[in-house]
Amino acid sequence: MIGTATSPAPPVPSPPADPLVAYYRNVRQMNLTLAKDRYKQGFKVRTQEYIRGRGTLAIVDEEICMGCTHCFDNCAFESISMVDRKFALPEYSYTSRKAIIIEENCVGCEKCAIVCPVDAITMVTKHGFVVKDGRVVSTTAPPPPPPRPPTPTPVKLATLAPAPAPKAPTPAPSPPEPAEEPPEESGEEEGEGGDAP
Amino acid sequence: MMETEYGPGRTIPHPVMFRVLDAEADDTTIPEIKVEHKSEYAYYPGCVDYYDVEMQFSHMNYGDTNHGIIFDSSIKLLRAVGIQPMILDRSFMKCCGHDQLWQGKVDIFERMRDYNTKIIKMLGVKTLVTSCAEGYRTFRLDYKLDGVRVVHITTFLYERGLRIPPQPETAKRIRVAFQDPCRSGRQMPIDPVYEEPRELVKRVDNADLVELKTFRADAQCCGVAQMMYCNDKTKGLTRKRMDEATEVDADYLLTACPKCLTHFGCLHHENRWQPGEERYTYKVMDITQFLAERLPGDYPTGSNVDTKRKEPPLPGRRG
Amino acid sequence: MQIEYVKGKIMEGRQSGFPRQYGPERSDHQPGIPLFPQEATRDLVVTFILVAMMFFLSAFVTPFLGPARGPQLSELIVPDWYLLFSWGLLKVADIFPQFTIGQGTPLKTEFSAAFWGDLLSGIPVIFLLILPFIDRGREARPAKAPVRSAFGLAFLIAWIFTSSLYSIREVVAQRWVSPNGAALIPDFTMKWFFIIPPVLVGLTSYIALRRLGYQPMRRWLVPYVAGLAAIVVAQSAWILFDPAGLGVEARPFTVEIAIALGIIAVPTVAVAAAVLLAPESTARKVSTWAGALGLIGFLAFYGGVAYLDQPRALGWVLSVLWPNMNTLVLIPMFAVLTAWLGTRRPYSTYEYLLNECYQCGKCHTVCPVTKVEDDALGGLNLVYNTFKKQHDGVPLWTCLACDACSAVCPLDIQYSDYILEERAKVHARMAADGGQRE
Repeated sequence: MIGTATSPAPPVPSPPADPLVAYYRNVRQMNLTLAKDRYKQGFKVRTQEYIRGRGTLAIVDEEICMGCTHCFDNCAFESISMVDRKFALPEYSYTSRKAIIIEENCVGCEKCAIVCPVDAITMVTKHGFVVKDGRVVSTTAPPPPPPRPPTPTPVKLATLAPAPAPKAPTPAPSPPEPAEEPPEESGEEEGEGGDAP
Repeated sequence: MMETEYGPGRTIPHPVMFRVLDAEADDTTIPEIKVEHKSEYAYYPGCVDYYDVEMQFSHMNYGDTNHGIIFDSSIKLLRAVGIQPMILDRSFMKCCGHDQLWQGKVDIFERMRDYNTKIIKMLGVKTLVTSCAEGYRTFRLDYKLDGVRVVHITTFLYERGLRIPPQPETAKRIRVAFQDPCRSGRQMPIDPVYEEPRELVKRVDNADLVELKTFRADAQCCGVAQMMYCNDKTKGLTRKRMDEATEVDADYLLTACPKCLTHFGCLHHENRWQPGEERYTYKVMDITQFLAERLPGDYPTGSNVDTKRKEPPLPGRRG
Repeated sequence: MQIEYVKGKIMEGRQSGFPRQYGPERSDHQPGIPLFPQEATRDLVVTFILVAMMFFLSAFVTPFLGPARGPQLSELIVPDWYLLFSWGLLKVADIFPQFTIGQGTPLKTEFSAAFWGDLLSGIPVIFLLILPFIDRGREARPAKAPVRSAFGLAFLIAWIFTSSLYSIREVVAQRWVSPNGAALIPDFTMKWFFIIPPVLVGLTSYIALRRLGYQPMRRWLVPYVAGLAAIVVAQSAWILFDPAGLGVEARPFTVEIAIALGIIAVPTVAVAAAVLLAPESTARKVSTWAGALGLIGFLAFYGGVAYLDQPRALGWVLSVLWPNMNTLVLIPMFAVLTAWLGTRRPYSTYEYLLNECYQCGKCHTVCPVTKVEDDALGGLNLVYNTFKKQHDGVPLWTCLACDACSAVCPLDIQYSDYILEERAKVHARMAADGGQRE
């Protein structure tokens, strides 16, 4: 946007008369192509780093996240939200943001982990799944799924847990915005839950 | 937050880009080099295209922070002072190795240095012009380029007497602030670049040079050097520096370092997250881009050659 | 024009190439008492009191020393060990011309060997007296003042070590003899000890100390080492090829002598060639290996010749080497040593520079990281904590290397260089432990 104020925005396709200009144009084009190709290769390697498959979940390390919103922009399932965090220091105070995962929506597609520039997002297995030989497999006899994976299973309420699960956690900083794909999400969640036993 | 004494403790930001740059260093066989235009003046664009791809990839900055235009602008400016430089492009050169050196990967740096030195000697370069503060420092101090004059582009343009034609009458006066990069200023024991960019800005007749709160040798860092980290703290530093530019009511914040440009641009764009929350009304750009925009004529490299580059998304967008 | 003016203002009063672009010029405002006249007056009073006490004691409290020992009791008269240097200086004084001026007048002065010896002994005292007037620099540490240190070391070698050695020249001449009965270390060689080793020590320590202070020393090293190598080669060639070089009795042992000279000359020439032609890192490696291999080779040769039961050969080899000790033993050693010291990487001695810090805290004031880092509330000081290796690497890995600290440092400590070195070390350790931890 800045550069387009006085310079012509679209590339000039006409063949330049000056051989020097042609040289510079070729080099510029070649450099850009090279960078893109090499970058794509590096990106391919990066996609192999995380565990994948259903039964995985993204988690954010709050300490490391710096609020760049890459993951927010890249998430196709509306399962990331940004919250503000204030820093008050003796001489200076400012606001930064943090990403949080809405676990109900997360399908474990690992896209956010790949795009995170500081590796603040990692993929973990959901409750009832373990990593065996590099694959995520469900354990054979899982306990009934609790509403939140990290909460320790209580004695009595565990049996009642499946009923309040769908409506219980609506995270506060979730953006007020017309949802498009929640049905698909919940379907996925239920399918996974039903798959296990 | 660091659990052990080993290493930076977290991933160095932009893991894909650094993986690519490090992987470049592995192959040190010297290829067949065919340069169509040979000259004793060489221009080294550095990593601008890689930064550009990275910034486009992080599409938050889509089109907003344009690194590739530094290349175009530098060629335009060099041609304006009568130099037709040879380009040390990335098909046969490697990264200069600044970031690798400062991140502690000395073996990778040494591989890059030896390779690049061989190529520069082979091509018979007499003057190496670089538009990047870090490249300037690295080629000047950390390489042993005997017989090659390494010069920052602002110094070079100043020496060759770059003339900016008078701006149109309708152009309103602008206030321009310059951020001194650490690498070309404080960290250069010889020939620090302090005055040349300022002199060049003064040659634009509708521009008033304003100084930030700290400038020249005690200029505050932009917050991120050598791409070691990107976190809330560096963000705070960047914001602090950009607030200084707001305080002096600048219209343009110029810099000569791609790292400064990246992080100023990042925060500049990020700040428009919510409409009406905008704090920074000025533009952030590289000094070469600022000067080249004020020269008549087209970019010899075809301006923005990336056809897929789009306009930045509007503020307040959804994912 | 304007830019030149501003640059001139910035660099005003500084040497060109001085790595400082910030802050006011250093000044020599040292609070203290001037030497003259205040300190001098006080010292004179103390001196007079001491002299008065000595006079008093010697006049009134004279101890009984016993009868004097006759000179016929011992052939060799030597004083106590701590006075040997003075004795040696008196002995060497006969190299000076002896004459008398003002014969027959009241002002008759005899420039005898005794006079020259007294003068030689007095030179250190005179030098120490005038030293404060010559050396007006601020620097008190010997390692930071290479010229002064080099002169001092050369002085010590010549006046203390060599002269002490020279005072027992008769003992040396009796104890070490060649197979034909001549002295292995003749008087001529020992007189040269007053010149050659001090010069070598002085130049070597100058080069080593400058290198310690991050100076490229190639301009000094090349002529110095090349010159030394040329001397060694010339001397060896003269011994081997000139008919006057080797005595008739030593002729049958030419092969052994040639091997010994080769063991000495080859490493020297290799080092000189490496310093002259190769880059610094290669020269460093070459000097290390040349020194080690030369030493091992010489010891092996020595032991081999002795083992082969050729004591006569060994004696003749030594009869060639020892009289030329200055050129054939000392010069090769110093050539290799100087090349090694002058090309070594000063990185490993960085903490030596950081030790200059007197903790004024300016760096902490300007450090941008401590303004935003949470640990700053707990007293994080990047420079101090990195140096002390505290805070689990936080100071090392959060440093921006923006050099704001070096810019304000009154002692010009380049902290970012230290950061470079430390990070490289950590990565090297990680590689040794088996790859990246991440």
